[in-house]
Amino acid sequence: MEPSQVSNVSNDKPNRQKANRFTGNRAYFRKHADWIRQYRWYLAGAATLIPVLVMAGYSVAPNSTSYMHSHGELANPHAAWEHKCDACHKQQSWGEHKGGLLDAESRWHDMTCEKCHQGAAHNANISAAGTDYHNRCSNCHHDHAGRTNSLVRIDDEHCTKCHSDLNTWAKSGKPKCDGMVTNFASKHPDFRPLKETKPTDRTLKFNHGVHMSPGQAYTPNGKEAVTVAKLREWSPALAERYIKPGQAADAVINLTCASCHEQDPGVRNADFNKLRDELSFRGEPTHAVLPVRPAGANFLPIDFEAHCRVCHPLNAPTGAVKAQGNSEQTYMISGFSVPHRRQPDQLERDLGAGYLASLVAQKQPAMKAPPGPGGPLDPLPKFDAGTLRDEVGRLTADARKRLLTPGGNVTINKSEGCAKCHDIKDNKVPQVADRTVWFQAAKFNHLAHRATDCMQCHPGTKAAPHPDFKAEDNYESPSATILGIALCQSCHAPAGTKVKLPDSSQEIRGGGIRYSCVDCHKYHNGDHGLQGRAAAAMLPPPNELLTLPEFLNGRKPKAKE
Amino acid sequence: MGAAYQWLPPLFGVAGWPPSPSSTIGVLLGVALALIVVIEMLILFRKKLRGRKQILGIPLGTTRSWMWVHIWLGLLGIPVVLAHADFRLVSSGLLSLITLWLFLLVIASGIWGLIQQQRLPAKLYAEVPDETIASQIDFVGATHARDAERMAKALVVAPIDSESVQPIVPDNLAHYINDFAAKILVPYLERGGARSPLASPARTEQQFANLRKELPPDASDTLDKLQELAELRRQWDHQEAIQFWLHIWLLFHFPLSALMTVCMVFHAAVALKLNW
Repeated sequence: MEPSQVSNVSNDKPNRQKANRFTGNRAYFRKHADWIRQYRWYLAGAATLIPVLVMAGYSVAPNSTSYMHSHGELANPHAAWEHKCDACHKQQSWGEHKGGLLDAESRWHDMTCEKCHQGAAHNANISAAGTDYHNRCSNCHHDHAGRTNSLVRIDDEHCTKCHSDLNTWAKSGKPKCDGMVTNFASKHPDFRPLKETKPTDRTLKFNHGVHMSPGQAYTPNGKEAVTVAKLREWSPALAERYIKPGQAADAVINLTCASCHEQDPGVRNADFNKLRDELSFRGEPTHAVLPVRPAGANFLPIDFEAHCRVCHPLNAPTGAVKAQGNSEQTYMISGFSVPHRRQPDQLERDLGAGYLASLVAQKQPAMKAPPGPGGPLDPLPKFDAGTLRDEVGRLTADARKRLLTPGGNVTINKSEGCAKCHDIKDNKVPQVADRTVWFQAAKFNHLAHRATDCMQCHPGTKAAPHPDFKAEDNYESPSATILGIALCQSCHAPAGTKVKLPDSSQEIRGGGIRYSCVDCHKYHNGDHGLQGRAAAAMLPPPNELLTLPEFLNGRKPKAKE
Repeated sequence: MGAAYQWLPPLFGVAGWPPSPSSTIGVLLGVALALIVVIEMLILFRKKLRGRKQILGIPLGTTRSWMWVHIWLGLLGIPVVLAHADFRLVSSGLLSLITLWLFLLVIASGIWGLIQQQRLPAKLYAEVPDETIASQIDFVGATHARDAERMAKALVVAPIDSESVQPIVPDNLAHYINDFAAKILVPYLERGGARSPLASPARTEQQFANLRKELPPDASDTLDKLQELAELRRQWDHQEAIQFWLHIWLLFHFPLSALMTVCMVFHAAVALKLNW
């Protein structure tokens, strides 16, 4: 600093008087705000402004900015409400929630699922904590996990939360089902129907081994084998279903599982139409027995008309009557087909009507009076109603006895009656249990297992030599015809699980196919194999149904004031 | 840390662990985190009040102690924010995700700045012995440029009060010093820059060696001074580079902090489902 740049200044303050004011280039001392210092403030301002603008947009239209706080895409069934949070989440103000401000989870999980999903009542024998848990749908069903996320494919932990120790969640008493289930592959009880069902519970005599044997001649030197020619003779209309193309007339009939257990009626094809016409002809409810193109998970119900009558025609036996006025001459009254699904008393009426119709038919020789004196110009004698009633009654009683008495028949196609298959007690044919779906507390899809030979799971149904066949063999044990949970665990277990094959001591590495709870079980009244999601309990009440705009906006109709 | 957080408490029988971010524990963690952020932001006001020891009779504490709290609370925020997010760094709502990552970026930039603030001053002290005020480098450089111009001119023009009429550098050699000063030295002193031949010590030495070789020996003193100015400018360039790294983290730390704070407020309002 040069002396010329410093000048004396007068000031009344002592220190200032001593100082010399700098009069040179003062720009040197001017504080230059560097660009980092400047830009950090600019950037901070911009950074503050951007979210504030977004926030303002959010307050104006919360749904349009839902992407900011949505935890992910909704699953496909809910995709229409992707940006309409209030379609499912209940609107709440500061104090309007039971869990308090800090319980944000409860605030978000307070939803209106029941607008569309009713769900049946939960198990009644459940504690208050369990009821609370079940009442919040989102405890088990998690959305916002992507379009393809399944809302019903839930983790096992949601089920085992209670089922691993069901006793602690029961309100009182012992739970009906096994209370300690943690995992299908390692800790799961065997199937209840197989454990609890006795062979005689079936009330139907039927042996798969007999029917799967060639010609159904199960016992050596027993009954005569069924051949193609015989089947065509007995039931011309239905026989072709069981005959392979090109089979010779003397070839024996070989049934397969699919001969009777059908997954698909073949809608609109010739077989279906033939079967439908046959059932209709027999007065059977075809649409109930043959539903429209089922999914194939379960087999169609076995029906006598569709699957049994072809070999087991249900006929009234041929009877003999004496001619009118000529006790020495007898005439044969042909048998006739009688309908199925008749109790003995109903059957008796059908038999009587059938025989009466045969007797009074025109040209029935038994009803013709023999020519007497005077020849045919004389008037016919008066009809003897008493004799006719007696004859019809006699024929009917005889037919009833033969149809309802076990062992009353001789050959397979001529005189088999109700007692062939049914245990008749107290003049009643007991109702046959519905075994179309054996596992009614779970779902099983036969179609998904179609690549596996049926005998792998149903070993007791295959044909096998059986020289000592006895009557009680007609009562098959369920556990013999359906293998238990161990066989399922061969595949439905962690990959690499050692599997011991049922019919040998050989072990292979199996497993690897999914085995979570929901692979077999449903909830909300959907467990029943014959009920399911469209059950009445699952549908919303009629007065709460939505119009299309209401549905798309996810809102309930406003209550009329 | 995440595994320990998730697995250890259940081993000791703690049920319902880990808590979700929206559970009561999760919300309390979020509240704690918000308090940390607020305290962290208060250092801005403490710096504005630099020089004051108290306000409204309340002692403010030193800026240094505030910085200590700022640093350690920020580091404490890392486990708290991770616990609040249930250690899920990718699956969440977009706003939550942005807020979480902004927080982590703010902390990361702060740690980066802390490391630079510890390392670079020593480096500056060692490598730039003739440092000047960083913001005045261009100003001082311009002053030096004018000085250099005058010194170069003095070599080729005889001073008025000189007894000799001949300049130190005769006319036929004047273009050496004139060209060097105008094209190389003065621009470098004014603006610096790595592309200048004088940015390299070796090339500077060579440039001035060439001049000394071409110019009369009497010009050596002036050339020494000019070389010294070039050397100073090179040091200041290096100082600028160090200063850049010493402060550039603030360009991230500060705006990101502001952005994160606003996002956090927004996130809290939405997550608590306030009035919606």
